[in-house]
Amino acid sequence: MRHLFLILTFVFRDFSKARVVFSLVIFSLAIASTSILATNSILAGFQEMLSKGVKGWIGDILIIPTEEKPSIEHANDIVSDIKTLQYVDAVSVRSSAEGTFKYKDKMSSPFSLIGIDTLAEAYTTGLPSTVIKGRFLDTTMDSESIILGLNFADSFIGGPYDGSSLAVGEKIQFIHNDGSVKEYTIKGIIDGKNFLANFSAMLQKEEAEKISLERRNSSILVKVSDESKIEEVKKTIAQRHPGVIVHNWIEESGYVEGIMQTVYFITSLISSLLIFSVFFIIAIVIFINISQKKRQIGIMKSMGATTSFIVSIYVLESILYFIFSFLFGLLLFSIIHTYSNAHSVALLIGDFHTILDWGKNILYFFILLLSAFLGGLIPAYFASKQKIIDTIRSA
Amino acid sequence: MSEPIIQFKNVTKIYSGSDVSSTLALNGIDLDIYPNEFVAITGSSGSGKSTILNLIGLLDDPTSGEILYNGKNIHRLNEQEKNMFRLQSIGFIFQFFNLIDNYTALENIIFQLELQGKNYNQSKEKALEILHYLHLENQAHLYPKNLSGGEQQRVAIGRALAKESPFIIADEPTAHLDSKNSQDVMDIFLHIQKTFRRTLILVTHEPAQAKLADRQIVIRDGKVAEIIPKNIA
Repeated sequence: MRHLFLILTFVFRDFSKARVVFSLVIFSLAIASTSILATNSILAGFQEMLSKGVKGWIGDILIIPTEEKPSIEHANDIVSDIKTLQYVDAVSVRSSAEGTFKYKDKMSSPFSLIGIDTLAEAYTTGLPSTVIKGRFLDTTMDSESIILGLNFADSFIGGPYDGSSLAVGEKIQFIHNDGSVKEYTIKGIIDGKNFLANFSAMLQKEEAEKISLERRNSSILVKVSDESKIEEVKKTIAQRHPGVIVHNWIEESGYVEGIMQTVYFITSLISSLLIFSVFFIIAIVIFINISQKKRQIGIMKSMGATTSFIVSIYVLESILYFIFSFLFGLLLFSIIHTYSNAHSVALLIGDFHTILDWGKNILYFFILLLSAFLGGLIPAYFASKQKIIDTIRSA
Repeated sequence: MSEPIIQFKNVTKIYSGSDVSSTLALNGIDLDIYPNEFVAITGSSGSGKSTILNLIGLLDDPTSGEILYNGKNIHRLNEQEKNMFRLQSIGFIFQFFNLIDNYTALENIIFQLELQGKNYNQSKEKALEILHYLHLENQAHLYPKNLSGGEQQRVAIGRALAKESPFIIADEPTAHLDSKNSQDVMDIFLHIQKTFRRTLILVTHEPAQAKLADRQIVIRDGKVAEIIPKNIA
């Protein structure tokens, strides 16, 4: 610490004497830092996109009957109980009816028509905000009103994902499994950014129950106020109501976890390789620098400079290389991040944009700092241990 | 006569080559150097005279024998003690000046003083005094590359002088200087030795410079061939 000013002066003079090399090193390390920040923000972006899609369809927690039962018994009691739990924001109950849809001469495959509580749904899943054409269901609408998922509406006309789909105001028939037929008017099309939501058809809960009571109260959706308490609320519900199956949103959509694990693996792999590249770039730069300054190291040692003094010079140099490049990398990343947020990429599973994950970025900052420290320490330590006479003669 | 400040006792130095051949640089040398003495070590190229300085300066280790400083074997010191010895006890002046390129003339001296634990302001004040003494005050803020050879060597002398070490060792300090600068450097050495009462050990090829010393030690084939007192030289 006593010699910090002395060392800093030495290091900054070193930088200023080799400005081109300094700039190139900073630039290459900045690219590595940007890549690490970007891969993390891509992972966070994917995570948010997928979770938003699933939560926008089923909420945070989904309660379903056990396999042998089509509906949840005593659903109203369970809902009343859940509403008393801490961290529970909203609860919504869905019913369903099995059958097929028919539009003109085209039939859908067997399908589950979903009856929703429109008011509760708004607080639990946010489905009303996903309407892209027409409007969402409400209690003022007549009993023949229906809303369709984007891809389901698309499947009746033209090829898949070709942009042509059933329009608001058109009529579609639902043929229940018992053979009864009912005609519905399409009031709205939703894009839930989720496969299940976009392949769905919804009407008022009471209407679904008029078609069939068999699947009345087939699921209960729960919205939790604090993300970190989802698991806790889920466990409480499962303990208090052992007659139902309770899943959190990740368990309910197994594919999300699969995608997330894959993306996590890829981004972690890229980040690890980049950390190694930062370590090697710094180690090589310091090694070359030391090789060129062997004589200078020998002179300083002959003057009485200690090993730790010599090592400090090059460790500080490598840390400064890293800090400057990380700041530059952060600047480059903020440009990418700003652009990504202004121009989200619309995918079938959601709108993708990068997300700033400060927790992970800080973690990676310290990991990179450690790799820079080691990248400077190792070559500097070995150089400082060389015999003075050999280093002085290396001129 | 006072006790020797430096003693070589049967010191041998062998440089191991990459093949079977090795070079015997010093062959069982015995040597005494006394406080405040000006000693010139002379000899032909490869005779082993620079090796003596490297061993005294702890830049290299002997193959066998003992080198005592005030009765203590300096090559038995641990790394920390060796650093301390280099830092406090010896001022080393090299043939190629060996200034630190990143620092100005002033900073080269300040660097030495700060290594010794002095604060910046004290160091700067003392460094300026030394540069003034060496008539280098106008070159204080120049980097080594902007100084002439003579000026660089004077800064190197200033750096060694700043240490206030008991002895200064100089390895052919005028080898790369013209006669005018060589004369200036030798005048400075003599002045330092007389004014500041330092032990000065000078390795030189120049008979005229060697004659200025209190004693000349002639090295031949790694051995002390002759010791010539000043009045005889």
